[in-house]
Amino acid sequence: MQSSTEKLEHGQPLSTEQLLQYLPWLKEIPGPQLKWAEGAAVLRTFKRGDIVCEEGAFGSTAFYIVSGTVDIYIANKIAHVNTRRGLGGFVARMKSFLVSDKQGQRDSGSKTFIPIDASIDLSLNSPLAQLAAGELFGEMTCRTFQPRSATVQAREDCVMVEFLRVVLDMLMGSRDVDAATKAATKVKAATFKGTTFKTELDKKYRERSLNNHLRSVPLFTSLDESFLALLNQKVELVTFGKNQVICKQGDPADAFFLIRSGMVKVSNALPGGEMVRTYLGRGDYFGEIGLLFHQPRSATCTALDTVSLVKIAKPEFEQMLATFPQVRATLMQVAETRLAASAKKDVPRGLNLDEFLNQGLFEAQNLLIIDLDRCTRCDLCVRACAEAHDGVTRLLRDGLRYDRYLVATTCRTCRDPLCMTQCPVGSIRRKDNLEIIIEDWCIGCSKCAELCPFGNINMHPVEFMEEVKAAQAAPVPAVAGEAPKPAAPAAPKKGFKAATCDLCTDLSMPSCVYACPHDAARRVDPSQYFSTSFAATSRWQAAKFKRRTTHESGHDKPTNKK
Amino acid sequence: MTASLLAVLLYVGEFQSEAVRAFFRLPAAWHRDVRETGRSVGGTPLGIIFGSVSAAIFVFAALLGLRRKRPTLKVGRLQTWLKGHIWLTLLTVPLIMLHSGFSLGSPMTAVLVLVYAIVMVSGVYGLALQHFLPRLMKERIPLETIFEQIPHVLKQFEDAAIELRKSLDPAPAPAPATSTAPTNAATAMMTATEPATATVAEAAPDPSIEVMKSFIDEAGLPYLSAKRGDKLMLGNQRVSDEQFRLLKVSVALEWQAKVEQLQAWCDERRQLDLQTKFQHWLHAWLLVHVPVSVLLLIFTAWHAIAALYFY
Repeated sequence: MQSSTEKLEHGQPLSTEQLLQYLPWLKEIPGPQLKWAEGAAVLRTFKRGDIVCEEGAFGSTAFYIVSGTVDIYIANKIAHVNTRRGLGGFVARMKSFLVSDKQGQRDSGSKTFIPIDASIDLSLNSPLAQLAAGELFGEMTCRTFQPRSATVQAREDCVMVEFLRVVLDMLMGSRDVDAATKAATKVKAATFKGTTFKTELDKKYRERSLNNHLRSVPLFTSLDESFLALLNQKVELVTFGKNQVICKQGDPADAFFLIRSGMVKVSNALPGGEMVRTYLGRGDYFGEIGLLFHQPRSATCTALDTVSLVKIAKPEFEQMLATFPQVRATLMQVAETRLAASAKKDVPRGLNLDEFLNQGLFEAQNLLIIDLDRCTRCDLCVRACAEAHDGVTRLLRDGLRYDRYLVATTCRTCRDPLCMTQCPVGSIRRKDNLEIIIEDWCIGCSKCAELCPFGNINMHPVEFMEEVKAAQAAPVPAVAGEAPKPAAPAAPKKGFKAATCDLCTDLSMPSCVYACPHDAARRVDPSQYFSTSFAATSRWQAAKFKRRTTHESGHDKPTNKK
Repeated sequence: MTASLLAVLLYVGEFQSEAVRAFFRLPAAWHRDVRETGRSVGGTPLGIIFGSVSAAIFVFAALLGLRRKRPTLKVGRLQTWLKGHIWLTLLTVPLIMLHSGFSLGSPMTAVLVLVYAIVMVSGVYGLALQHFLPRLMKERIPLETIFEQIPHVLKQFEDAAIELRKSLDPAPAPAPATSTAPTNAATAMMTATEPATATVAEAAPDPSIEVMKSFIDEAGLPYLSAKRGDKLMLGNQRVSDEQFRLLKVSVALEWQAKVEQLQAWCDERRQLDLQTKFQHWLHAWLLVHVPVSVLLLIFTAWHAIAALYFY
């Protein structure tokens, strides 16, 4: 894996004049500003079969293809770590396998494509595509230092311009600097309006990719070609900068949004502060609730960084609903699920404790707590977890204390799942039962593990896991002049797959809880559990106080008042 | 309780009182009058039933050990097994007493009863400890860590204290320059004044450093590197607090943070020592309970075979 400080260490440095030769759109940038691009771009040549960048590698640059074609693919196995009940009645344990969603062993979500950091998506069936001259890739890595989302390999001899963010900003337009960054630096950041390069990219996207993008969203699969063509003409391609509010809770609903690139935070303003409902990535959509139910926006949607959206205005949206009842039905279903999920996540009353918030327990929805008044430190919970997961425990009997409970180090299924915010391929999501799902196309970059504030995501080496035969292998890129080969067994690769506590969903209860002989280990929803616990304590204390005051007042009461 | 009461009623009905005999007695064919036959109660059908049930409970109780080896085995929760282990073995107290007819019998059975008593007493003792100590641990060891990690954490404290001690030693003097003739007047002046500065520093060392050095050498490091810290001066909370209080008033203000850091290491070391002690208390009784239980099983088997053979 490359270091995160990857700069322009390779390639031929380009002078301003040379840069203008390869990226003529930069001529639109005023001369004095253009000088800032010096040293920020290099020319790189790749021979057929050379690796341009590898999935999971950290970086800070984007690439523009001057000539040649590249294969862009995901080399890691298209499978996820599945721990399921092994053979044997009484001796059944959880066993880790690499399996694919095709085997129908879990809720596979609805995506049929893998969102990557390029203008195209990869098909889930065969995650391999080509990019040709004039295309740009690595924009998100350049802007947000996300790991590379896919491996890029030269399909033929290629020439590319690799550049840093300043050049990207010149080409595409820079975003508003957020207040936090402004406060942290005295240096005034340069702002760029962008060039016609962006307009051309948008035009290309509209011509070549928008229909596919719309088609790849399960919601729009029932739309016919003519309506798609109409949408293609009518939709607006919009971009939002970091922390920019896309729509605000309470505002009138005027459009429906489909995410083209970037991450969107969906949140609600509550008396105690902001509560994050979810994060949405490329291919997700939002804004349907207000339009469907003719009500104001039910949540605030904010761009986490640069976000490109496909905006479908209210008239087109309503026309689509009227013409295609199937779309309305699907949208209604999604909207109801989202509303129900929002209702579930309301703030519990009676919990306003600093410690509860400071320890992040408020974030958690499903927590392993150990009652320290009962726990005899026998470690059977840890042994059971290890026994249930091929000898690798997913919990440590250590962590912060809250009241008389130890909050063990294991997945908390947070309310604000930060682990999902920077996945370069959007492969981490959550099921309705709160279980974290790592999708098949996880590239093993470990970004989610780094982001988890509680250290509860671990990386499983692929080589140690048995692979279920039906699991789909990564594709082998084709050589020049040949059609892309279908998925075929790849050479064994030392990859990783992210895994987290699976709550032992295939077993009757989590192994740690099942194995605790003293009823000390429990899986609870902390808000509900602790509020009930505190309410009971308060009631008990109130009753005690009442008894005492009644008793005292009985003594004080004058016996004979004349 | 119900099972114990039933066992007592059966015993009384069989051997003691005519009044309850009608309701609580075995079939007439099984009835043996111990006074007529001269046999012990254990040799009668009812005595054998009591003995067999007790032996079965012993076997079940011993299976808990195996059950703990495979915590995810789908044969009921460990919690249920532990409850069964406790309550059923408590039931063996009346059963064994009734089986023995309230007498120790031969030397062999007397030994068996002694072994049984040790198992029961150690078990009840362990049960009491496991109810009482976790609460105490929670209150007295807020910095509790994973037991297996304690040696590692202690080593970290020791290393940190050694580093702190090293930082108090003066930095080694720079090697004298061999061929560096002064290039200008300023450099020449600097070179000329260096030995004088060093002499001043040597002549007036910071008294706080000396106090810190001697405290770390005499108390801090020996405590943090000791195998058993509780025998040393800083192993006692009150003495330690007093020592650090004195140290704080003896050093300059800028050294207070270092003193507090050292005190925090010593306090945590004391807590981890206490955790080790509690951990041993929590589980050391098993060193008696488990082997003697195995012995009990062997003796019980021996007793059963011998009794059935001779009777």
